[in-house]
Amino acid sequence: MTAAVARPAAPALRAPAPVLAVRGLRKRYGPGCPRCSPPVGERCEACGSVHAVRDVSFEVGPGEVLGIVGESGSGKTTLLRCLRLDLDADSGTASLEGHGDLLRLDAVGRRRALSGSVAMVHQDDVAAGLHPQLSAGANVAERLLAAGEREFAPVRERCGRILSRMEVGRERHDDPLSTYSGGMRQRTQLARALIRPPRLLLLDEPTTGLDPSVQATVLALIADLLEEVEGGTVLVSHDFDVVSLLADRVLVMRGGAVVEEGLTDAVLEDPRHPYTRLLVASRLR
Amino acid sequence: MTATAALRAEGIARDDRRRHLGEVSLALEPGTVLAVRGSERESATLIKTLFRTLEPDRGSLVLVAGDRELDLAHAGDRAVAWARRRWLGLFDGRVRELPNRAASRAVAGPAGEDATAAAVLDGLGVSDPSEPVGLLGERERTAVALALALHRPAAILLLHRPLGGLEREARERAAQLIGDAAAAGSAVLATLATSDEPLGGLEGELGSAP
Repeated sequence: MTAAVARPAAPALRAPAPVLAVRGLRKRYGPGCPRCSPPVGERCEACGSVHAVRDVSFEVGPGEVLGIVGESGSGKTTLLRCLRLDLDADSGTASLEGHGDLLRLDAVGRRRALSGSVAMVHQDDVAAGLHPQLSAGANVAERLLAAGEREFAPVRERCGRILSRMEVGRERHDDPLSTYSGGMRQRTQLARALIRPPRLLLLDEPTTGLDPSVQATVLALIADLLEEVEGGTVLVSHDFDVVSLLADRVLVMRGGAVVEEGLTDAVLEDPRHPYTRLLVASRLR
Repeated sequence: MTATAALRAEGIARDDRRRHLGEVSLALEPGTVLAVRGSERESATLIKTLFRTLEPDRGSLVLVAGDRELDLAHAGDRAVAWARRRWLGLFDGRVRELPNRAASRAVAGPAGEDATAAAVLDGLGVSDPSEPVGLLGERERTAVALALALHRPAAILLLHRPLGGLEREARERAAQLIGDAAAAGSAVLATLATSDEPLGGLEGELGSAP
């Protein structure tokens, strides 16, 4: 009789460490109270507080696009604003590669993270803080200046190059942003976000509100750009079609909570939660 | 293709009645084509399970790259998404592409050449590769989806009925492209309808659904 020889286990393939790891993030609008635990989507009867983000956890890997879908008021944008440090989260952690917990950075650490490692494209240019009276080039340059770059010629050259890459004609680079169409302003936002390649790119409904043809053009641009982004991307949208096109994985949010998550095609193929089933069933085909 | 990889399924199965898969064991090795014949439904379920769109209820699904392994059946979603981006390619007849993009641009990719992609599309029966994908007919859109999978093939290619719906000449060209992908090192699995011509390489058969 011969003894069976066990095959040695091969070393495991491991996905790279996440660029961003969010754990137990919470954000409440309102004072809160000892009895403050309203049902999902409702205000606290005692104090009127709304729990906009409830104990949300996720990771995003390098080169990965994580989609977050949900209806208006589901907490998607509040979540992004907490990660962009526009809002203070009540609890939880958000560890960003090279920075530690974003939510606990001091003022210097925040400025360093926001000028270099985190970039956000908002639904509209007002929310993005673009300056309508300044040229597109100047709006893009702002991010380089915030990072300490001061030499005019190289800054102008880089801004011109990335705006052209975003299909903004060179002859328009010096025009005030107020003369730009909605699609051009979105492309300017993209240029500003990517002028310094971020480790974390946050896209908040980047094509919502644009005409369908412009939306398609901006989406095509985003799709190409995401191929090149080496950091992680979080894409918020109420549109499952946009998310299914761009995102590797998806979180479905409702009333501030994640109700389902998974590989995007897997969630679309076999949605489990009743709300996800409703979203998937509502897609136009 | 950057590096070769293999995919080994051992006893993967799904009990779900709508997406049933009888126990399947197979090995997709670099440089080979494995063709599998079976019903449309079970073939589709096999491809979806190997791509991890559907989770197997039993069995292991091991991706081997170099001397390292990852069991996709039990790995977390982030690891599966990462493995897909690096090693897996899928054709299931659907075009995951923006409808306003020219077919040749879509297939070429951001850094590719339109002319080379157009030649591939032409061979697969797309009469005007410069047309936006959204304006193409259903058959041509399927050809675009196939070209997307075969023009720059992944290390592991999962193809669901790649010859279905194509004209004879386009079918021959598709079979040639699949052979080329394998010759370049891809590990290819193609599901075939009963009436499809053989692809060469190995062939197997799926059990019938209950």
